[in-house]
Amino acid sequence: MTLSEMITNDLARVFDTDEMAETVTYGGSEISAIVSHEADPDERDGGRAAAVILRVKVSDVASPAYRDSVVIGSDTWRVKQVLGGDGNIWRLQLERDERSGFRR
Amino acid sequence: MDYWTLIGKIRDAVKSASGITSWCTTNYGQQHKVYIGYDEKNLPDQDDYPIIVISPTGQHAALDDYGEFGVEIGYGLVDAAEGTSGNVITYQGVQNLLEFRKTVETVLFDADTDLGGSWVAELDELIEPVELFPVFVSLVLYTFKNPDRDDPIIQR
Repeated sequence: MTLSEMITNDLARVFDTDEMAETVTYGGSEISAIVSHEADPDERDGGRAAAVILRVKVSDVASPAYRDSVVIGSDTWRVKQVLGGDGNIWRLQLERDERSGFRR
Repeated sequence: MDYWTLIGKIRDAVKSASGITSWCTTNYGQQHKVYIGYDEKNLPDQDDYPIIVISPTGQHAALDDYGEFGVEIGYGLVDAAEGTSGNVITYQGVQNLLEFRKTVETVLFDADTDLGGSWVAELDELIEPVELFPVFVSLVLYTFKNPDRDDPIIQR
């Protein structure tokens, strides 16, 4: 088995929805992804937003972009930032539920 | 006039004004919500937008001055729309935020609106159109003059 085949097999296992992954709708297409709630709420000057980290396969999402829509469960999230990628997996920060304060 | 009376009059003027309701329904499909203060740890939900947040900020009075009340009114919209016309890209929330504030002020400062005789002597606006996109917020600090001689210093 080649290294490439091993990586492909490993990815299939990691992104198995019976294991760590779940089905999300990215830009209208259902894909397998890993949702991590490791991110703290995104505190910003005057407000905050909910945040999660999403890992997706590059083969499913070739070029993630700011404000891409991702439906997880019944919530619609938006890509805020591409945190990194290794050629096989993208690591993305998503956000939703932006809320503003009302004081200076 | 005491502070809470003024807050109540502002609230009553904007809570169900047809001009405000009509603008909000036309542009965002629902009536606005009005908050008197809010919880910093549970900020107003986007579902409540368009939103008007009324907050007292402090008052001032002196023996030779009936005094004034600071009232900050926050205007908030959620609007992710953008449009391109030639080489101009416009985020709709910027325009609508200004319109929303003007719509509310048109009602609030109409000659027939009962503000107990108080009037605005000064205002200062701070707009936040970027940080929390698609949330657009304008904060306007209004300085209302007290029309009545009811300064607690004098009453003692």
